[in-house]
Amino acid sequence: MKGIHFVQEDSPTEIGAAAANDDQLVARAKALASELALGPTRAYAGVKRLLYRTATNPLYEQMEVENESIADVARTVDAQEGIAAFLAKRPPQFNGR
Amino acid sequence: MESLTTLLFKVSEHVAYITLNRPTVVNAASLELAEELEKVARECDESNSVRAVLLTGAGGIFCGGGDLKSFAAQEPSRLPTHLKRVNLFFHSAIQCFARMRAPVVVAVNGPAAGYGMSLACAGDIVLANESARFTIAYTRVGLTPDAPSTYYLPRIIGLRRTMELALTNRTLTAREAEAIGLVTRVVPGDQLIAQAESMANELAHGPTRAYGGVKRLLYGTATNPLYEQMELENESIADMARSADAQEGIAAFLAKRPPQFSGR
Repeated sequence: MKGIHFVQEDSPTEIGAAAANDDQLVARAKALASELALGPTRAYAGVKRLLYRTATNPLYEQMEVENESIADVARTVDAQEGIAAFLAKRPPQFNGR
Repeated sequence: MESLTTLLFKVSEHVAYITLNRPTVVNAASLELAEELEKVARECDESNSVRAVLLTGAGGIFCGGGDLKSFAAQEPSRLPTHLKRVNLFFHSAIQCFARMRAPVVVAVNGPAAGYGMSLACAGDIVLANESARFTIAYTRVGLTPDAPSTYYLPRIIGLRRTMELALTNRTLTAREAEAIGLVTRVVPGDQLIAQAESMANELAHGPTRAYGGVKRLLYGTATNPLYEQMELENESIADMARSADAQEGIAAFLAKRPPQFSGR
């Protein structure tokens, strides 16, 4: 499956921060930023909104906010493209809208 | 219960067995599967005879996520409504699992992606074998996570890890999932179902009301201030002390014999 691998899957870092050797740090950060820059930006914003607010939300409140979020983001061009690309087994072409 | 087409469901010796059963489409969560999962979860929630639940997937797969093929069959303008309808049932099912007194044991026997990873998070005890794989997956298709992985995941594995997994969809192996506390335990592949059944059986003969109290206290604690939580604990232990199982548990402990819990 597609994914960004900062650490070996069999050697998770202790506190969950991504670890990279000093000489690779900037290159890897750039590669990650470049990949994210071609991703579904509005879905990323939704993830950030959900995760940065979850700490003070009770369970059912968070479920409702998730439900509103997935329905909202389903209206985006990128979600339509993402689903179509997944079913066609091709890489998605996200444009951030 | 009337016939189910996407799940297998039976209750035996106080254990409810729920098996996601669409193996030709990686047990993907369609509207119909969500409806049926809600139906059986509510049955478990309301039934006095169900004292533990065992949830797994058929065919060496746990759950590959939402049924994107059925989602794509909607008119694009109808997709938000369709997803809300799926969640009407899927979220209700997960609320039942959280609310019910019976502990929910999840056996992750293969890939758990999207809805599948969310569903694995919603178990009270999560066993996995080495073929288990976990990926959040929603942003891969331009969607945001739910069911309610943005509630459970940050609380189980932390915000930093959750953010990375939600943005990159990196796949976790069973071992990494165990190392970061996402699963309770990894067991050898061919022993997964036997161990999950044995755990469910043991829990089904435990003090069910006290288990329900533990779940209520732990699933509510994240947003409670200290003194509020202490008061809820205090009310809970006093409530439980009125139960037949607490009387039996204390008597059995003092008599140095195994307790005979009835779930009352």
